[in-house]
Amino acid sequence: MVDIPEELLRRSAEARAAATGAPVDEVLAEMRAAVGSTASAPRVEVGPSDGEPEHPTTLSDDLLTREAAARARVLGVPEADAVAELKGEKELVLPPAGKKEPSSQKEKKAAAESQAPVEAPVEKDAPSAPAADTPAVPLLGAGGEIDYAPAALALGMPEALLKRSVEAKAKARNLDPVAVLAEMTGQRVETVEPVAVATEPAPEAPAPAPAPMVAGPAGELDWAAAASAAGMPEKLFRRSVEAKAKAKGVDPAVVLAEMTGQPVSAAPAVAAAPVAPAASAAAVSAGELDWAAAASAAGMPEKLFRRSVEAKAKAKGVDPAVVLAEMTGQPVPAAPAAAAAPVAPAASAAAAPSAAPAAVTATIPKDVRPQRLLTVVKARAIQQVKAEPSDKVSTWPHLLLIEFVALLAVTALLIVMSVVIQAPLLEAANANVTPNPSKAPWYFLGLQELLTYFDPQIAGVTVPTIIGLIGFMAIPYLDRNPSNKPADRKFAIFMYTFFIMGAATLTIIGTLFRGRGFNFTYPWSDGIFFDDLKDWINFE
Amino acid sequence: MANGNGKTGLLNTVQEKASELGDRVTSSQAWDSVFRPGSPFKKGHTDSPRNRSYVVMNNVLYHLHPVKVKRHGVRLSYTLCLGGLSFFLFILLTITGIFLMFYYRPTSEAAYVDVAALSTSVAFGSLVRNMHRWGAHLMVLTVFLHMSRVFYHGAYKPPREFNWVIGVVLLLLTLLLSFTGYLLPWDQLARWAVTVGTNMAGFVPIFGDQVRFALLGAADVSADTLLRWYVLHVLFLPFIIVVFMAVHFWRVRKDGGISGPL
Ligand code: HEM
Repeated sequence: MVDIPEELLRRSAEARAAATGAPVDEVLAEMRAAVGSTASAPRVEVGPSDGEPEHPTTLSDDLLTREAAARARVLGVPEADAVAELKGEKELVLPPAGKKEPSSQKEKKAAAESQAPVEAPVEKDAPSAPAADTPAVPLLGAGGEIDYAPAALALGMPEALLKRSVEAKAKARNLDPVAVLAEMTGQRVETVEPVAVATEPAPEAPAPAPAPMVAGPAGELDWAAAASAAGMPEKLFRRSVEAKAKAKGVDPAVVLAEMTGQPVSAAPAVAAAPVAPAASAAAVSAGELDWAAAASAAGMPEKLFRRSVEAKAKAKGVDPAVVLAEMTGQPVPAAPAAAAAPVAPAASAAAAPSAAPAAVTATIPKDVRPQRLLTVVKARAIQQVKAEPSDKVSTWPHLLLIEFVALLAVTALLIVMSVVIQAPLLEAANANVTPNPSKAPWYFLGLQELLTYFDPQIAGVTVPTIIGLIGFMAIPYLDRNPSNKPADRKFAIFMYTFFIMGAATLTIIGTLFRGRGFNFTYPWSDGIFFDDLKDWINFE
Repeated sequence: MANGNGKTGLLNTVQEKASELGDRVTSSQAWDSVFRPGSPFKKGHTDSPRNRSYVVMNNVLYHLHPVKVKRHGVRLSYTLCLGGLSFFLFILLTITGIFLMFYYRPTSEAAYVDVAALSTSVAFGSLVRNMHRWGAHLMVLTVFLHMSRVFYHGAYKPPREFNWVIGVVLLLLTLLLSFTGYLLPWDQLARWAVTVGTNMAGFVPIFGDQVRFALLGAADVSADTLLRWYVLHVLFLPFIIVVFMAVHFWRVRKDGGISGPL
């Protein structure tokens, strides 16, 4: 049992009545009966006992067919499709907007009215769109000035933001703000004559750019306006345009004009010429579009570009040629505009003048939410997110087992060593008896050996601290060679090996070849003068 | 009485009882509480990639190792396990060192007597003392070899530069630990080796005498030196080296694991 609020039911009935031309009361009664709502009467609880599930997930057949019929009529689709959609079997593919048949009296009247050219851009109470489902948003205040408040409310945007956006767009496209506003609120722009975006294409001599937005008064580019029209921070926008210009090898003005959907200004147009006029010309004459040229101008793969254009065309219900022209910044060719016109001859005339500017301004269909570019991320930052795949194995068991074995081996070695070799313990310390020779632990004997050749300041201080400590710490910062391949590191490897060999030699000499008075001896003739080793190296 | 397997009935019964007991133990709550999910010691453990991950991830070992490591890094021939062995020797030295501390007093009267007594009147005293001494020498050696292997692999190159610097500090601390321990037996070898070693510190320009005094706690190697080096050896330096090791291991992982392959 569906419980529909009375208010909703009434609104729905009204809409349906408007669509079908039936009296509202009749529709309402019908709907009440079908839904079983008792909103006005005392509520009667009809429980599951009547054989229906408590929350039916499908409409009754009768209601469904009638609903579908109404929808089919309003949307101009086959009834079978509407039924299928209601049943959730398939998505509804809407026919091109222009082909819509005015069905209600109101719509017919609106269409008829729109034939007549109207002086004022958009009248406050003028039916602004033939589609019955587009609510008219008043655009002008009582005094004839633009009233942003209702539109802002309708769009869910702060008024100030809307105003700025509309003005920037109007400036960028050289249109009346009212027209922009009308377009943004999803209303047809009926009256605005295409101002600069010429309907007269002149491929041989491209029209001079309608420069106001591209070029400021002094001839320099007006970045601020263009950026705000594109909805991007100026700096970012400018960088992007300049980068594109550099990549394509054209003047930034050309790119800018192209991006804002304007005809390319005189000089650069020559560069872009083969693409643009060719495309539109082809569209008119052979009926075939020159995708390759247009795609390369847009810097996209042809297939991708074509798909994108066709999708846009379908979404807007216009000919791909129109979209293409728009995207390449050319005047809209006449023929495609006509093709997009409504079938009904009466409406055709009305649509003709509006199709051109509408196409040029890239109208977003009412039910498509426009997307906004939030930020520009450097490609590198994205690419680096994915780690390089590397060949890895589980720590358990592969690494842990090896470590465990190594640990056991060292423990075993140490125990054996400790059983076999007794640590030295000489007589108790005696400050009055100096052994001859007196030796440091083995790891310092290289230094002690060095003391016999050099001044203590060098051997005892400079070498250990400057070379040994600071020098070693500095190695990674001195060795700027990024390679770790031994073949690339011959010098580094030589230096380290040389140093280590030197230190080892000094240590061995200091340990084994120095006897009484730290004089040079041969261990095999005079014996070992190093107590840690004395007991277990025996040359006898 | 022999059964079909040729085993006696008694042996069979014992085996059965043993496996029954083992089963009871491993399925007890106490046993289950010790091992975390994925542990090979848990009852019903199966070897699966998921459980292999859990062995590390659910274990205190996760502080040292990631779940997966580069294949070339586990090859013994790459690291030669030298860093790991340096660390393991440090652990062994800590354990044996604690044992020695039970019998050692750092005074000029007692030190030598206590060390001598280790060899004569303490069970395993001689073995543990030898292990501590040779282990210390071995650790100096493995740390040095570890440093050399790191150098020859160019493993100090970005992003591992700083870990090399930490490594040099670890080498210095290892040498200082070894050197401070050298004095503790308080025999002639210890006394005069430290005299020679600290004499070098006396050559530091300008502050030479002050540096030497700070090291020895006196003008010459004395009872004060013994106490000072003892505290450094058993408390201060181990504490510092553990901190640096923690950072060292952390950086090995954070710098992308083992370097290479070459
Ligand atoms: C107490 C002394 C030390 C301990 C316990 C220790 C421990 C470790 C361990 C366990 C590793 C993992 C890889 C391996 O086992 O080779 C490692 C890596 C490393 N160690 Fe040490 N280390 C010590 C001293 C040093 C020294 C003296 C240096 C250099 C001066 C150094 C520099 C490095 C570097 C750069 C790595 C990364 C190697 C790579 O990624 O291939 N370490 N250390």
